[in-house]
Amino acid sequence: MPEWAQSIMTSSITWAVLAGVMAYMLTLVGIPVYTWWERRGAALIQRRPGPNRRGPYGLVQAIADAVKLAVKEDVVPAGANKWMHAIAPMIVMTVALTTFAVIPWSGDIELFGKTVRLQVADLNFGIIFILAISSMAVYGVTLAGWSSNNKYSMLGGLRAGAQMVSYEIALGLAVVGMVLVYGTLKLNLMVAGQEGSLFQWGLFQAPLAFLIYMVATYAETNRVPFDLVEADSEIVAGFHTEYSSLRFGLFYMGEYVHMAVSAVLTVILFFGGYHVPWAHTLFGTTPYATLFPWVMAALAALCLALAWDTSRPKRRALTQGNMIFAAILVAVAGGALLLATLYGLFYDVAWFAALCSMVTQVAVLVVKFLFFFWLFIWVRWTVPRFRYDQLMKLGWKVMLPLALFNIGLTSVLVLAGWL
Amino acid sequence: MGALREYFAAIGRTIVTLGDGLAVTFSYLLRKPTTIQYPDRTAQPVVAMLPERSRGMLENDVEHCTGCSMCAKQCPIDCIHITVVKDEETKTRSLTQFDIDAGKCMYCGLCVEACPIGCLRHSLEFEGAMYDINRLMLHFVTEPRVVAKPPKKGEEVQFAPRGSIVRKFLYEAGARPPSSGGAS
Repeated sequence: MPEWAQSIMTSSITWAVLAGVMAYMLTLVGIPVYTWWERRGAALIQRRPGPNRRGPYGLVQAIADAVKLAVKEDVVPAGANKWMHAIAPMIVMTVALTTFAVIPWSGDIELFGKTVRLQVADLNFGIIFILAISSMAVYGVTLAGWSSNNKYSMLGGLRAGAQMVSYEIALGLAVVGMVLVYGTLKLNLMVAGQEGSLFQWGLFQAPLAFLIYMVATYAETNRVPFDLVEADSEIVAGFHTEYSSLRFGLFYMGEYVHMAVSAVLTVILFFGGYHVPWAHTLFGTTPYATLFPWVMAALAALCLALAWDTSRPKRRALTQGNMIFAAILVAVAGGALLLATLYGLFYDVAWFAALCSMVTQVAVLVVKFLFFFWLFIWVRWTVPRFRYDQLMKLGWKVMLPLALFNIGLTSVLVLAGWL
Repeated sequence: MGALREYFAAIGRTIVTLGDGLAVTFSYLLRKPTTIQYPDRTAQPVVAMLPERSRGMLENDVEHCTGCSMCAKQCPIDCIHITVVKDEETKTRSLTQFDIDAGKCMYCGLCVEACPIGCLRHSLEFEGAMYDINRLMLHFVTEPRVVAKPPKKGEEVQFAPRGSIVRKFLYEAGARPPSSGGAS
C-alpha cells in the first residue's frame, strides 16, 4: 500500500467525513424510506395493503411524496412574524442533524499502527452534547407555534414548551443513571463498557433507566402517545399548521431525524451499540472480522429473496420497474458475495480485516437501530394519545420521582461494586 | 407503604399492558389485509359485485321513452333536460334532447320512481372520472326520434340490458373502461 493511501486511511478527517456520510445516509437519504415504512407499517397493522402501486412494494411513492412537498406553494400566513416563521423549521432540522456528530458508528480499529474510529467528533462530554443540542429543538417548535399567528399553532407551541421541558428532566436523569453505570460521558467508552456478555448491556445493568429513557424519548420526539404538540384530532396540526411546502418538509424531516437520533442513542446506551453479545467467546480474538462474511452472506440472501419476490410474474404484471429493482438487488447481492470471497482470500492482511470488522460493527448497529426505529412506528399504531393533564401527571409525578429513585439505586449499586 | 406499592404496581402493569398491546398490533401486521385492492385485484369487475338495487348512474332507454317529462319535473336539482318538438304536418312528437348531467345528479332516484314506462333507471355504473366535468353531460338522444307509444295493458316492454346504454356514452365521453377483474 503506497504512503499517500496509508496517510488518507489513517487520517481522522477521512473517518469523520465517512461518519458524517453515514449519518446523512441514515437520515436525509433514509427519510423517504422511513415515511414509506411508516405508511406501510400503519397500513399492515390496520389490515390494509398500504402504498403498493408505484414501484416495487410502493417504494417510489416515497419519492413522489418528496417531490410533491418540494413543488407545493410556500404560504406565509398574514400577520406572521416572517423572520421567526422562516427560521423555526431550520432550528428543528439543524439541531436534529447536529446531534449525530458524536454518535460512534464503530469501535476502535487498528490501521497501520494508528487507531481510528467511525465518529465525527469524539467529545469528552458526548452525551451532554446530545442532551444540550437536542433540547434546543423546543425553541424551533415553540417559535413555529408563536410566529404563525394562528390559535392552533399557538396551542401546539405552548404544549411543546411544557411537554418537552418536562420530559427532558426525566430523560436527563435517566441518562445520569447510565453515566453512573459506565463512569464516562464519552459515547464510545459507553459502548466499549458493554462489551462481553449480554448482561453487560445497559438494559440489564439498569432496566429502570431504560424504561424512563424510552418513555421520555417518545415524549421528546413528539411521537404517539405523546404527540399532543401536533395532535391532529384536536388542534389541526399543532405548531406546523401554518407551514407548507419545504418548510413543512423540514419539520417533517426533523421529526424523523430526531427519531433516528433517539433510536441510535437507545442502542448505544442500552443495547450494546455495535457489540454482538459473547462475541469474543463465540468468534475468537477478532470476532467482527470473523463475522464479516456471514453478514455479507445474510445481506446477499436478503437481496436475492427480495429480488425473487419482486420479479415473480404475479408482481411483474404491475410495473416493469420491478425488474430494474430486482436487477439492482441482484447486483448488490453479487457485490456482497464478492466482498465475502475477498475476505476469504485476504483475511490475514491486517488493514483489510480491520476494515471488514468496522463494516460488521456498523451493520450490527444499523440492524439494532432499525429495530428501534420500527418500535416508534409500532408503538404509534398501538397506544392512544395521552390527555394533556395525564401527560403532565405522568411526567412530574411518576417519571421524575422514578428517575431520582433510579439515580439513588444505581449510585448504591455502583458504590457496592455490583455494577 | 400501600401507596408506594400501588405506585410500583402501576409501573409494572404499564409494562405488561404495553407488551399486550404491542403483541396484538404485531399479530395484526402478519394477518392478511381485509380490504380489497381496487380496482384490479378483485375477482370480477366491481360493477358485477354490486347489489341489485344499487343506485348507479342514470340511463334512459330512449327507444321506449314517451317524452312525458315526469322525470325532469321530479328532479330536485334539475339535472335532466328534455326537449320534445311537435311536427304540425304529421302530428307526431319527436324527442330532440334528453340530457342527464351526471356530474350534478345526486342519485336520489325520484325520477326513476316517477317514470311511468320504466325506461329511465339506475344502472350499476359509477366510475365516471373525466378530465372535464362538462363531459359528464350525457346526451341520450343523438338524433331526433319519434317518441314511443305507451305500452298497452299487459304488454311486456323489452329494455336494453341494464347499464349497456350509459356505459357506451361514458366511454365515448372518455371514461376509462374498468380494468379486467380477476387479472394479475
